[in-house]
Amino acid sequence: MADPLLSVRNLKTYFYTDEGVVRAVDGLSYDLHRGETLGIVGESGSGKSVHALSVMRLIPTPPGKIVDGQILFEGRDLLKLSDEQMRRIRGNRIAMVFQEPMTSLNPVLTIGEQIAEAIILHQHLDKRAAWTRAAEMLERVKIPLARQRVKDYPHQFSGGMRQRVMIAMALSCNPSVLIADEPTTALDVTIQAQIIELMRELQRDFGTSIIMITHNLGVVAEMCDNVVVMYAGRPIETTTIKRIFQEPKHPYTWGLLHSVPKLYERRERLIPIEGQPPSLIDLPPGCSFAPRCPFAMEICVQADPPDFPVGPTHTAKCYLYSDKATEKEKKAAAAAGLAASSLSGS
Amino acid sequence: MATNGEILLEVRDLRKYYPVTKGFIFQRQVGAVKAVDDISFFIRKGETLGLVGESGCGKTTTGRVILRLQEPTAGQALFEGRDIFKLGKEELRRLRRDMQIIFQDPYSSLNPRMTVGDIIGEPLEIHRLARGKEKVRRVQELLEVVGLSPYHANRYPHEFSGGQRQRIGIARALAVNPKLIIADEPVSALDVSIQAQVLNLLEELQKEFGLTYLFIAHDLSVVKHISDRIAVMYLGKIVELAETEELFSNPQHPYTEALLSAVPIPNPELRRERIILPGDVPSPINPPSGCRFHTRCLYAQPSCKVNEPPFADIGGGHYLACPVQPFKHQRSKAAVLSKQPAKR
Amino acid sequence: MARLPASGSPAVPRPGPGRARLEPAQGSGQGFWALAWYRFRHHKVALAGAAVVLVLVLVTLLAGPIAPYRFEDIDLTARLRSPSWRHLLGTDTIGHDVFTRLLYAGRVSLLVGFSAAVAAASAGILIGATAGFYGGWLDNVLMRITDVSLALPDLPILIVLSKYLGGSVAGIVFVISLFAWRGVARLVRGEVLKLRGQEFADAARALGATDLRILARHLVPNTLAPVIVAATLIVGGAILTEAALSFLGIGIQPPVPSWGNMLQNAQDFILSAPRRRPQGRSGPPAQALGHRAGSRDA
Repeated sequence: MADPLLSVRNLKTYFYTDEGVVRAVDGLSYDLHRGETLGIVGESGSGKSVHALSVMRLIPTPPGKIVDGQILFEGRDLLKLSDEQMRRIRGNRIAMVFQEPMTSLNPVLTIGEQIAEAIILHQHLDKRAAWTRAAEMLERVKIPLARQRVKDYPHQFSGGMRQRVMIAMALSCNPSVLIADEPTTALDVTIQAQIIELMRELQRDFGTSIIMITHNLGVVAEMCDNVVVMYAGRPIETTTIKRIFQEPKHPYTWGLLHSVPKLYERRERLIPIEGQPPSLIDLPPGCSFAPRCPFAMEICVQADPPDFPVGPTHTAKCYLYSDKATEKEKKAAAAAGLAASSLSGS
Repeated sequence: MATNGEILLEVRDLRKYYPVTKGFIFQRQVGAVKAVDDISFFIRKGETLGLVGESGCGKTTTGRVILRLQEPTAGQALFEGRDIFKLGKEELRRLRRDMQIIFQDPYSSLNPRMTVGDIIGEPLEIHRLARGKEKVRRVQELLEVVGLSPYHANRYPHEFSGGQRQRIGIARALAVNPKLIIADEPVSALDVSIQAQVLNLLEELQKEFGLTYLFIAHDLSVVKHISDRIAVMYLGKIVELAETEELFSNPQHPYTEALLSAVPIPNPELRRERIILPGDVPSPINPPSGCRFHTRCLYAQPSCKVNEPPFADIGGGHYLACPVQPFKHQRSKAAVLSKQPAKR
Repeated sequence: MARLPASGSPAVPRPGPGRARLEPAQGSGQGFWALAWYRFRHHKVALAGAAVVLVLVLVTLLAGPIAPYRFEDIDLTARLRSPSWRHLLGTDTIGHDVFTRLLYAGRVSLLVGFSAAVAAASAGILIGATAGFYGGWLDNVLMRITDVSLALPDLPILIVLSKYLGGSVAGIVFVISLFAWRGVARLVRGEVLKLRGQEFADAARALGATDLRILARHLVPNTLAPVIVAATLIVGGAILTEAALSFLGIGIQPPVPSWGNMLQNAQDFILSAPRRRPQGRSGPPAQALGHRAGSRDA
């Protein structure tokens, strides 16, 4: 396979607070290839959003700090760049769309001014050309009457339209990577469907690689090629979109899939994941999911599990897939329905 | 679910308008936000009615008006035959033992200055149901009922996570032994893995105490899971109301159909024909004439712009406000899909 | 940053029914005040300010045992003396011991300051909470009254009122709080307006709580933090106002000492004999005022 476009290696972002060190991202690694859509899935506090800010080098310091790791973009380590070099990449080669379309736009500037600003900054176009390009971008994201609406202010747009504007702004410099942090979470479901459709279409046209950060498993299934599941700052399972839904290997992923009500299946009772997510300041020893894991073994509370290969392009941080687990323990997990096929004998 | 068909709450022609005023000292009314505009439905004892719709459709307002947290503009709400909207202050206070609410935001719905024990004990105090040792015992019992521990009574809300706070809110609502609970987006602020815990708890409590729920939510999967019947709202109107299975297998309103198809399904094998609705939800200040959905409807007829469709039973308790009925005699795509078991 | 999940260390895996026991976030039952105290202890400037206030309060409260004389004691043989071991800060025109009077004056000044703050805050809470909670025309009327009274010039009215009501401590407190409640009222109204929309207020209403209960148990307690800050500002302001009024001769009347009337008493000499007894007359009360006013920010 070709070299990845963006490769995150063992990223660790900590926040130093009065209460202690918050290990928001603790050893995240993944590869993003050209034209790929990679889903980063996790609940609040899993570190998925902090990771995005780390890649953009937008972590507020202090209290935050990227303490370890590499972020290789086209072979260069972003963490080693000067602020000036990073500014040329941010918004230009790597762009970001945020969750809140209401607060991510400046209320006192027109939409056109805001899009043109980025274009002038990065593409060195003159004002007129930048303005034309801004109008074109609004047309690309299917804002009706785009040429007139460039002169409008953000409050004149609805939530869904604002998110389109954000996407237009992000794509205006034709970036190679687009990081979308919960881009549809604040939107209604019919508007969410519009935005997902739009992002898919734009990816086809622009060939942008997308990192899709979300807690919504449905959005992942609709959009992504590959998935990283995060829990308590760590990537606990990495694989393709098909495998994650058909053969989830990590008990957390498996639990997550079973705890959501399904639209087209009848279920008498949901199977929730018991307990609460751990505090990132005071992580339990060993696997951070162990206290909530129905299959936890002795080893799980003693040592932090490394990645175990559980199939082609599929790894999981779980001792069930190591020789530490006995046949009996594997059988018990399989009996409960955890990806039965490959548990024993792996 | 234990439903003997008896109707607990019946809402008739409910309207809630918010005046839009202009002027500084002499405020003139220049229009109205028609948050809820002439809706009718009923809830049977022991059942769960889901009220689903997008933001601004009026579902939350409906819940609050029924509880008279806001005063209705017009209409009736008969609770066990008595019109809630006609009750005097004192009668209303007494009625509030029978109707309770669970809120969306587990952070703002608990008073940060009160201990959990005080929060759950307050309704007991207000209605003089228990005091002293008896109150303490009852609070501990309620904490156990919602899956918390008795010793949590001395703690403050900020010491709990979102899911636990939602349990505290549920315990507070249960303290007065209500008959009806209006659950206003009770799980939408929670993480996915915690949502299931709270949904299961609500179901268990319903069985245990014979509760009736009006379950308000925007998440169709959640509503489908918990509801016996579902009402779909759009711009202040109920456009369709039917038994859950019927609504999902045989949606008749074009908006319901689009809503169902817009939900992203966590199954990459299940690629559907998606119906993408054009445009945004219009403003409720000057809603479109005729059928309010006609501006986005894929099947709209010229008459839809003029005539407001009646909300009528099309058979078997399936209510619909669409004269066109584009899907009559035709099972929708969603229905076809629902028959194929998802491949594992 | 993302909201951090709470919860300490859930002990053992517990597969089973949906109602597993859940451990709360942090260790012990920490109330609001405990938390405020914790933050306060970790704020050095606040601590220093509190220490100054504490010393002032202690010293003035303990004026009896500490002071070498009674405040009305007059030593006609020793008038206008410089500081000495007999009279630590000297004596004034009629032979009062300045140190003694300074301590007792502090008692009066602090009494005026705190009483005015409590009175003003209570009135402000009452008016502000009513306006914010009920809204509509009541809010309009109450807030317009507030605005109008804010627009009136304070000092001339103070002076006129003091003329009739001044003299006694209670009169001065009344006059000062008449002008101090407005800020608190506006503050409380704003907070109540904000809190009224919070779901816990709706929850209380849905539970059948009366208006009074919602106000007293749910809304007002949540406005207290900013009100306390405002009230401490009033304490400092009231002491200064009292001093100003007494200095003008319409505040606390001698022989009861206050920092203001001591200053007035000393003013004749600050120019005629500034070097001779600068410390002896105007210095101490002025400095005491400065300290008190300065530490109010804490």
